[in-house]
Amino acid sequence: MDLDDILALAETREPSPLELARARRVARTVQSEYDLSLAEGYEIIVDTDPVDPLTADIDEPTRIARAAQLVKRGTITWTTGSGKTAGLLSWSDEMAMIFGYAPGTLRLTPERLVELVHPADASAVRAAVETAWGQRRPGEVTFRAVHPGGSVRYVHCHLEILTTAGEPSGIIATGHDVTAVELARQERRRLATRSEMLCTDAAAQDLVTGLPTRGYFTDEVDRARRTTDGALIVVATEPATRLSHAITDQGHEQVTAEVAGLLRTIVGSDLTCGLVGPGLWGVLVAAHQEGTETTGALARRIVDTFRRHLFTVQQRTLRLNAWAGVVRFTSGVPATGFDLLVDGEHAAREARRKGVAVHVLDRPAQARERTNRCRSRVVHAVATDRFALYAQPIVDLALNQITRHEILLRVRGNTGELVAPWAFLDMAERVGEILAVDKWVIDHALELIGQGAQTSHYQVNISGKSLADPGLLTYVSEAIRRHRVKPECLTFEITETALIENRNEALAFATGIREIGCHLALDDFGTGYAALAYLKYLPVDLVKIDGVFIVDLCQSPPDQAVVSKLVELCHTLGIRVAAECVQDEQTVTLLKEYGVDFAQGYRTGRPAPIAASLKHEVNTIELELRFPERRIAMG
Amino acid sequence: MAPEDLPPAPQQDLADAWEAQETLRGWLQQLPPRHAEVFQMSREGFSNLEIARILGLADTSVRGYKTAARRQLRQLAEQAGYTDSDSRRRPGGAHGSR
Repeated sequence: MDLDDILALAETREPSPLELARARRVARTVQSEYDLSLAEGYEIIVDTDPVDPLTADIDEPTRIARAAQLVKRGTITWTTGSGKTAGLLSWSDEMAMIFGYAPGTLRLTPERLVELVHPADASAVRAAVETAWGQRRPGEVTFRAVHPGGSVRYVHCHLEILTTAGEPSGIIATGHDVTAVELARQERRRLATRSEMLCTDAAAQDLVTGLPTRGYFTDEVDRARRTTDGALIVVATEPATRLSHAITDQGHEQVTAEVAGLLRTIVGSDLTCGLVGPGLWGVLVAAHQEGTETTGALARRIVDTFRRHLFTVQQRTLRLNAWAGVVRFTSGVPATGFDLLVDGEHAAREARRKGVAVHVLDRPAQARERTNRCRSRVVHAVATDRFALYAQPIVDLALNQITRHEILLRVRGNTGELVAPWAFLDMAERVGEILAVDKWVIDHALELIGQGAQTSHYQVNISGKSLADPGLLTYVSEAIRRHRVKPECLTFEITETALIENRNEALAFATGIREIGCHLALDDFGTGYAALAYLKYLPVDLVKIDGVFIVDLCQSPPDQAVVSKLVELCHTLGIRVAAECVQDEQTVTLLKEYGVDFAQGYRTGRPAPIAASLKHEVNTIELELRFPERRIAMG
Repeated sequence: MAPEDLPPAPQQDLADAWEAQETLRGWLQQLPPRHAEVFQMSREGFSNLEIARILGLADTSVRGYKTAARRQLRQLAEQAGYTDSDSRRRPGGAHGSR
């Protein structure tokens, strides 16, 4: 069946009984009126002729213009006739008003008409007119008209060919102001684009586990403590058997994802749970959600299930040891979400220290006590070198080879395994002890770099908070001199998870560090506090686009828009661009297309330890001594 | 093969005249108003000249609008899956249902 069949079928439609009845009724009414008129003596002279006598003998343009005028449309007529009317261009009063002129005030010429059309649309109008004339076929065009005052209106015109005695003799445009319609159409299109481009908040979910991230969970706890009573459970997990080094990062991620799945099964979908640190899991229980099972019992159940469960990784089985800390809070406690989280972590550590499954705090700790505890943890970690440095290769996409390394911090956990530092750094930043950590990193990183061949370029992280310290620049330049590092091989990345605390001091550091010869980079650009204004006044050499924009790049038009435009912006400002979290080959191709300078991620290379100092091995031995104790805890 | 890559399912033939008219009305609404008006009037039996007089169009335009309308309707019909002609199919007889 095609269009012709459908048209034919539609033709065959018989009037419905209803329509027939209606027609009969009309016919009867007419007949009765006629009869009545006859009976009253009216004489019916002749049938009425519906033809408008005015349209009978006027020329085509006038007829069209008159019809247009009746529906408030304007006309422009352009005739090519010979003699007096040759090349005559004229517009109706209505059209003059559409263009913003009082009727009769402007004599129209082709040149003047072009001037009245918005410059960007002039060529489209010309093309439409030429096509209509060339093909002898009606056309239409929408363009912007510029009023004498400068305001712009949208006008839609139908273009038609006039004929005189069968020969084309001119062109007539019938048009009206469609500004409102056009704006509504543009708005509809914008809204459609917007809803297509709008993404869910990817930063709220951890990539590996799908659980809320530390930041999101902290906010949730904070929201809960303002409105309701409740409790926070923090569960700490660690491998009960010593993990061999053969287990790769993917293996670790697999276990983490498995633990997350298990946790979600235990607590159900009503409670908020989140990944609050490497091997640290948070569960938020509001008072109304507590039900029959107390929070303590829930914590014990989580710990028991974790300890009983047999995890598999790379064809090997693995058991986890777990401890839980519980902090109860009442609504409106002064402690923030972050404070409660820190207390929960402390309670979990207490449980581990005492060798019990669950340790319950009935109320949040005192603020001073908490801060001191956090501070001393950081200070202790720095003093006892509970860190290690890893290096992750960065590929120069133009040369297609590794030319740089980012120095990354790893924190030693209780068993001596190295874990990602973000939870630790978050705590250190919040209690204002990040400077000590940064100094440790700078000192040790430069020492290691100085010992090496210095063939690569090294990128070292500094927290935005540390920049407020006036002594930092001296410390850095002194360390560079002491370890004999070539300053041109160094880039300092300002991590933007915390606000740059003191703008002036940061600017002084940035300027100073570049005078030494080092480069400056902005890390995690686009998600932290980094404002675009920084690009203007901080002497930045490199911007690292946050992984949130990169992980899904190939599938996500919004990410593509952000990355491609950001690259353009940075290059215009003379800044190079790096992409973090590059995970596959297609992304690399796309990044090259956008002109991104560097790529970093698991695709290009995972972080690897650059060195292990003697002290670390001592730590490892100390931890191995603890093994029997933990086996007992497991039962 | 993803579901959206599969060829469209063959369209069921319209059952009666009323359905055909409804379908047409839906398509005509998607046409520019002028095209739809001209097409509809020509189907109702008005001559080109009459249409030009009533709608206030140039005499030559009516033909152009009619062609354009028909072309767009055909496109819409093909989008909806009405592609193969009955009249072309019937003489062969091989595909007809017995």
